[in-house]
Amino acid sequence: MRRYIVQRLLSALMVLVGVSILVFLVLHLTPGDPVQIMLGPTAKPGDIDRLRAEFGLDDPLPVQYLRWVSRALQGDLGRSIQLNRPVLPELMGRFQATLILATAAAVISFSLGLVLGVVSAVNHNRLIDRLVAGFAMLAVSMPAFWIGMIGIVLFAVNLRWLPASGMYPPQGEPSWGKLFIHLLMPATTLALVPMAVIARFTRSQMLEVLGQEFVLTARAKGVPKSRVIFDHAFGNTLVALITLLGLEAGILLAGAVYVETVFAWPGIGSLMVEAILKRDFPIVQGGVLVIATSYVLINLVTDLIHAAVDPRIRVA
Amino acid sequence: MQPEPILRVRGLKTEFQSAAGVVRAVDGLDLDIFPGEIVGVVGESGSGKSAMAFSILRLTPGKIVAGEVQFRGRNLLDLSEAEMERLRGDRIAMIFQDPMTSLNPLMRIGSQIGEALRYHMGLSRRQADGTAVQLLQSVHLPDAERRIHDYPHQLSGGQRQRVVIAMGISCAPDLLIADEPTTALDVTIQAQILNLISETRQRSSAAVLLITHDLGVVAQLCDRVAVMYAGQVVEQGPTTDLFANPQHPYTIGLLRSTPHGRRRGEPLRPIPGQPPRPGDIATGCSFAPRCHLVEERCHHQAPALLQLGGGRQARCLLREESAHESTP
Repeated sequence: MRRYIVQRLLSALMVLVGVSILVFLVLHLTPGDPVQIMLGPTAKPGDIDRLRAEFGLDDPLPVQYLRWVSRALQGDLGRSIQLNRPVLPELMGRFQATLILATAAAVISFSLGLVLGVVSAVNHNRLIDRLVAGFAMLAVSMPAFWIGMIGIVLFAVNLRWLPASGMYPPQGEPSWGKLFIHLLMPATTLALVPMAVIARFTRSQMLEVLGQEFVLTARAKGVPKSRVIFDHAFGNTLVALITLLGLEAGILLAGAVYVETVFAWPGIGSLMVEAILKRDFPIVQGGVLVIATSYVLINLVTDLIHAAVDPRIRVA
Repeated sequence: MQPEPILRVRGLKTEFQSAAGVVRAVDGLDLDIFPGEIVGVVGESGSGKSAMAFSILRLTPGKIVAGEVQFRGRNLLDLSEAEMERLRGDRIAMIFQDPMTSLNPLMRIGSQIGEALRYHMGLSRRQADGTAVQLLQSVHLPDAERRIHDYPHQLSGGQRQRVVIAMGISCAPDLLIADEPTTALDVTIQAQILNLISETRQRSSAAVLLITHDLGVVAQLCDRVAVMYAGQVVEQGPTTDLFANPQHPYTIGLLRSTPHGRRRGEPLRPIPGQPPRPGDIATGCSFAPRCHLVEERCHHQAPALLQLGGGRQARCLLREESAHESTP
């Protein structure tokens, strides 16, 4: 098991190095010389060269890359052009909001998705199975931004039960209660599609596991049907679903962009959309790095969980 | 005076819903099993052997539409599901065909063996582990103390089947149903597992219902044998008698088609044709289309299971005369 963890950590590190190289190159492959832009069209060639040397832009690319990485490791991702503030604190504040939203959506979609899937499988082809299937079909077919807008019209504008946007009310002290109320609609909107996907996969996986011989063996031992489902079938279903759950967790982070835009949620997604529209490259670069890193971490955690619950993986 | 059978199956019918319509996998099955004996059930694939086994335990995915399954004087088909759960694994246990798939890959084998002990005998986890070690020793799995902590993938096929047998005998059942327990194993391992089953029977005095399509296994192990065809028992009797003097044309064909039943120098003769598909509705004898002794009446008149004396029974119209002769 220890060897497996070390292996996975090393490969995650490799991916991160690759990501950082890509992010770095994107900046250098985009057309336009930053020094030229800074000094304007009337700059003298001598001044340009001097400034280039001052910024280290005349060094070879690998040297520049190493310098960038070492600064990034110390938390220095440069300054935002639009906001004229350091990128990292800005990103982290926004990333926290995204993390709260994605985590809430994950809790909703994972728990409801698994429960609906198991209920469907156990009641295979009965009414409740068909109802869940219809609901899942509907949830997958409707785009999140549309559901979000309908939700705002219904619950915020007409019924006035929930706030339409933001993370906290504009005035007053932030509190958990206020956060919860603001979180409810965006998190549910974000959760709908992954929940439907998870419910469908759980159902089919559970049906497959229930058809396996060890389930019959357990029944033949006299284990009651409900215990067989929890002690034998659910664990095996979950193992097969861990990879999907990890993928969905990543999708929740990335998919937050639409929902954040619709609900004006102050997350990293909406920050990135603004930054792209305003060509604020340091923010975009840093944002990509943060999101890619969290992706890699989610994958790493997924694999480690997989190994922890499935004894067959540890030896491999 | 013969003792009371521990299991008495009468007129059992089990149906499956399929795309092609209703399929009757077990079609009026009669079977007796007496305490402590090994009864072999043989027949081709699709003859309803496994469907019968699962019907006895009421674990069939199909529907039991008729008949009764008397076990120690109680009709299992009348019991509640909770009463069946108390019986399964305790008084009637089952061993499955493929040890690769009949163990939960995520559960340590000690826990899997201990499961029945905890449910039926109320043992604690630790007590169950202790008993699991003894059970593994009794099925000759070396290093049992350490093995209970292993997962199924760490064991070979033969070792897993020993674990499955240990699971089956954990609560000292009165009846052990073994559904082709050696089919998925190497030939050398097969012999060891068969010896183990016979040894287990001697030690625990459990009756064994051994489902197989290997007549050699039956000859070696079983006290009595029931031959199944198209969901019915077409002939049954003591193994040696039945092999020496088969009464039903299907049994005769079955023995001729294997090296065990043939005289030296005689070629193997397969039974022509195919067994009826379980969906086909036959009037008359279901074996008539393939029978080498077929007569006109066989196509119209369904034969009953005739008592031939000496514990022999056969379901064939042509034996009616000898049946009457034997019981004048």
